[in-house]
Amino acid sequence: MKVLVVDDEVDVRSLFEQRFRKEIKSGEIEFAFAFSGEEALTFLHAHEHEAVLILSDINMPGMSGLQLLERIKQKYHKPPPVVMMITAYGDEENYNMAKKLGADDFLTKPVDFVLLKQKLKPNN
Amino acid sequence: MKKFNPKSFTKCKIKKEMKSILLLCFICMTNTLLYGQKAIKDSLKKTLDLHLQEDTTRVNLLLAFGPPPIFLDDKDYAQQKVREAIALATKLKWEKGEAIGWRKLCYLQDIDQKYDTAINSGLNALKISEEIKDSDLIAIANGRLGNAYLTWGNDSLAEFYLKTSLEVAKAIKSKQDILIASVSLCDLYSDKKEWNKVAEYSDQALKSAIEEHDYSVEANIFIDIGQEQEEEHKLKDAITSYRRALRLTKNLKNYHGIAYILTNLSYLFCSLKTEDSALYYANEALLLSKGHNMAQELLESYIALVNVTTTFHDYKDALAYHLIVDSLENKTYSLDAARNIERLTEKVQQDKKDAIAKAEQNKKDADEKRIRNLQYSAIGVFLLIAVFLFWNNRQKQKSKIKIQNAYAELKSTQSQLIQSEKMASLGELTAGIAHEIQNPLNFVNNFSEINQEMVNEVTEEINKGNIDEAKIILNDIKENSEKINHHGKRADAIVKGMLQHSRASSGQKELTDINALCDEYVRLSYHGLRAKDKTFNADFKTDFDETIGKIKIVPQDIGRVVLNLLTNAFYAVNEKKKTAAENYQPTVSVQTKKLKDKIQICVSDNGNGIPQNVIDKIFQPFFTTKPTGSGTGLGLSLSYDIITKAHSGTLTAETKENEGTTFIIELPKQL
Repeated sequence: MKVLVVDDEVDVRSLFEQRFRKEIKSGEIEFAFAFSGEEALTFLHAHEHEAVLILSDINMPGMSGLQLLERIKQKYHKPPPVVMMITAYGDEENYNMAKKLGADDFLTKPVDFVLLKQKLKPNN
Repeated sequence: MKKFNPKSFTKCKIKKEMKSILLLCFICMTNTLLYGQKAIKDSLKKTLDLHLQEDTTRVNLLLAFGPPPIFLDDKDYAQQKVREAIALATKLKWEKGEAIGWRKLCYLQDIDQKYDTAINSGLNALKISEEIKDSDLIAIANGRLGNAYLTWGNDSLAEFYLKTSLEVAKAIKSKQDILIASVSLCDLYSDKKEWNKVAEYSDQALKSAIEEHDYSVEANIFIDIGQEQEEEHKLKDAITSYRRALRLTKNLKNYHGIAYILTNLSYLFCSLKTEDSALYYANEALLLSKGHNMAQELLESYIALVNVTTTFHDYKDALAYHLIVDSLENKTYSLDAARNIERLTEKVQQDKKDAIAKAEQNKKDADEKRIRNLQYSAIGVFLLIAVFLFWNNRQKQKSKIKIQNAYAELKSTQSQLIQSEKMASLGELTAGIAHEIQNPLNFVNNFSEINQEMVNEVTEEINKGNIDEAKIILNDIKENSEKINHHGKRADAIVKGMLQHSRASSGQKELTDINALCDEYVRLSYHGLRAKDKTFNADFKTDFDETIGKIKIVPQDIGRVVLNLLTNAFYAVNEKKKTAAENYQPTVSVQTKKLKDKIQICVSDNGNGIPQNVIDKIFQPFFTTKPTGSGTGLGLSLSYDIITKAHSGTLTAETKENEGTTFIIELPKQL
């Protein structure tokens, strides 16, 4: 499966690559990275239907994670891919807003990678 | 806080000064109206440079630098030339020149508010004029001295000298001197509110003025009439009179006079509760006094603005104007000068006493009883004067203490406001810091966990004998620990920044990486605003000149300035987004640049821009366009102080309506 990770922190890339090094090695999961909402949209446009799961941060400069979610779910892709939202705050407001906009799941920072792996497995 | 009304304690005093200045100006106005002032000045300077021979002609040339006031824009220069004239006349033993010189010096010192020296000069002029028995000079000197006492506020001596001047002038039928004396007496009695006497002298003055075709005197009389109507609460009639005076004075280009009438009109419209006109006239007066560098009128205009804003309950503006008045007051109010005049007056009395004693000796055979009676009455008068002076001095001391107390209260309120402004921005920061610190800590936790796993893997690989694989993993471990270190430092810097911000600034300058500082505060302010308002969103761009290196600044102070500018910028784009079209991209950018001998930091936004009528006020304390409660109005004024005072730099704003604003900080490299 292909996962697109959207976060403005550059080191997120090496974190995911190391945390999932076994899965990457075995070809179980393939990762792509975007460092802003805009970049994520460009990627999705170029690789339509490739990514099945999108993991996105909410607080980003420019287009926020919630705006990205809205675009993906309502305007761009049919059928829309699975979108999981990650945020530092994990408050009700963002949670409800993300749910309303059609987020499939919700992760809070710090990301629990064991939990994330579990969530990714049933999709296989 | 005590209620403090600046109008009541200064208006009266200033009114007198203004009136006399107005009066003094008209004497000379007609001479200069026909010619360009600059041309006259230049040719006068040239002539003086050519005529170096020490004779009465040179004295006359030097005297021409004094009033008529063609050199009024440079009073110090005029005073210097007149003093030269007096010195030369003394050397030549030409008493007439000396007397004229002292009289002109008296005028110059009077408008410079040096009342003590002005009165001294006036007394010299009178003494010499009496010695040479020149009636014309005696009349003018008496009038001048009377005016000096009038400005200072000694009504009884002013009355004495002005009446003497009028008598002498009538005796020699000098129309102009009659005019000056009667108009001055009009002023005197209108201050004392003796309206029947005002009417008497204004009739006389108006008659002479029409004979002399002197419009400025006419203007002055209309002011008197306006004042009379004001006293009798015929406010609308008073406005009509003042407006007639204004028209005449405007034609004469007598700026002191125009400013005086404008502020009076502002007060009148205030009393009539007509805010627009009151504000209009006060602002006109302010513009005029700024344009012509008239310090006293500037102060008076600000006081009028305080009056208008207070009357119409705009207390924030009132406080801002009040602060300006306060700072200007400190420059002009001088207790020492007042004390000097008292000492001088006592000296004059002493001289007179000596003269009486001499006269006594000369007339020993005269009736001793009569002389004794005279002495008793003289002593009685002196005692009265002394008691009055003592009381006057006490009153002044009292009012000085009152002013000092009010000032101290104002100062402490101000520092409390500064502290609360700091705390407000700290609150904005806290939310941002929570988010900012979470990210590096995530990395620290995750990478250290990964490293633990990897150490186990390395051991396994070595046991298996896969040295190459082990080497690859070890390299990963090394990279990860570098990342741990990097993010640990990042968290450290954020916490330090927060502590620095809450602490009172040490004021110590230290070598600082201005790019890192800007970067840190951009992120902090962005996340701070995001945490407060979930709907807020904007793009931020940074463009840092990496060649800047470190510069010596007070980092927490400059940080506050950058934070304040950024908060404003984010606020501006957010405001625009509420009304702008769908495709509007709110953007805030920070740019640093190395210039020849300074560093430039630009904070730009693409918001609505700052309207032209507001741009002049943005650095004033308490000025804010945010709704009440959202801003203290101190952010930019504090920033301005930090940049210009503590760092000798400049802070400017460039703005285009509907396109955005750029704030530019320039700091000298060598601090």
